[in-house]
Amino acid sequence: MEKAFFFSIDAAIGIAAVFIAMSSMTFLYLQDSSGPKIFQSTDQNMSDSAIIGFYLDKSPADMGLSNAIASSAKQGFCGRIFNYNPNNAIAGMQSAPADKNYCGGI
Amino acid sequence: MDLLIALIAVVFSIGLLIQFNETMIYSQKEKTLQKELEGIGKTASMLLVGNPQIICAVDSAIPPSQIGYLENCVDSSGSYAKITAANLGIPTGTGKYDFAVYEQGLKIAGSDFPVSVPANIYSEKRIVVLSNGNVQKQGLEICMGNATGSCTALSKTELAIYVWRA
Repeated sequence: MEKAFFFSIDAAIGIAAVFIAMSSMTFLYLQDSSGPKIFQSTDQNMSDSAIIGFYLDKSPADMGLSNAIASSAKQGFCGRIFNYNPNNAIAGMQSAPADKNYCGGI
Repeated sequence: MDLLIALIAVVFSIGLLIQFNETMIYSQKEKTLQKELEGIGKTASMLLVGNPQIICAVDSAIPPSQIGYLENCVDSSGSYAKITAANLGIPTGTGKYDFAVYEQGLKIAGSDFPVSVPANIYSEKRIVVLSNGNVQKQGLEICMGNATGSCTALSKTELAIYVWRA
């Protein structure tokens, strides 16, 4: 019987080669590295810088920020810290809006 | 002979399929664990700069003395005793999570890094100010530039939080 192309020794060697190559790639992909892998998130850097710049009276440039971003973060933050201030509360009522001293007049 | 080769090819093919399937399952499991770790890490990072148990309280000279809290201000009193797994929302124990917080390269809270077992470690750097105890409103106003004087109540620094599966 004449041998078909696929069922030849060459084809079998070819399949074996592909199998070994795929196994090697899978092994390399899945193997653990020797030590801990640290992945770091920097999502918060900008808002952190804006708030700290606000606390310490630093200019946006000092904190590596643009004026627009710093101003926006400052206004947002001022809104949060002044929502509640027992010093300005009226007896039996919700706290009155706080003064704007912390926010430099914003 | 052809039958034998064909059988070998079929066995190889089935082996490849099984291996591929296992790879996919492993990859999916890894992704799930990674997402969980990221969730725990991000929450811990947010609580580090936002949990009233950790951040600075602001005191006023006029009673009632405590008027609020400062985000991104960490109370360093008691050697950062307030930075605990519970306050960071990290579930601890066997098979759960562990953490460490470093300030400028020095560990200030949590455990040592795992060295014996390879692990993924989630990390975030947070820019904060430190205060030794509660912040006085007058001191804060000086730092903010709304009153004259030099700012001694707050000092800027960087905290790095690391979270990993124990």
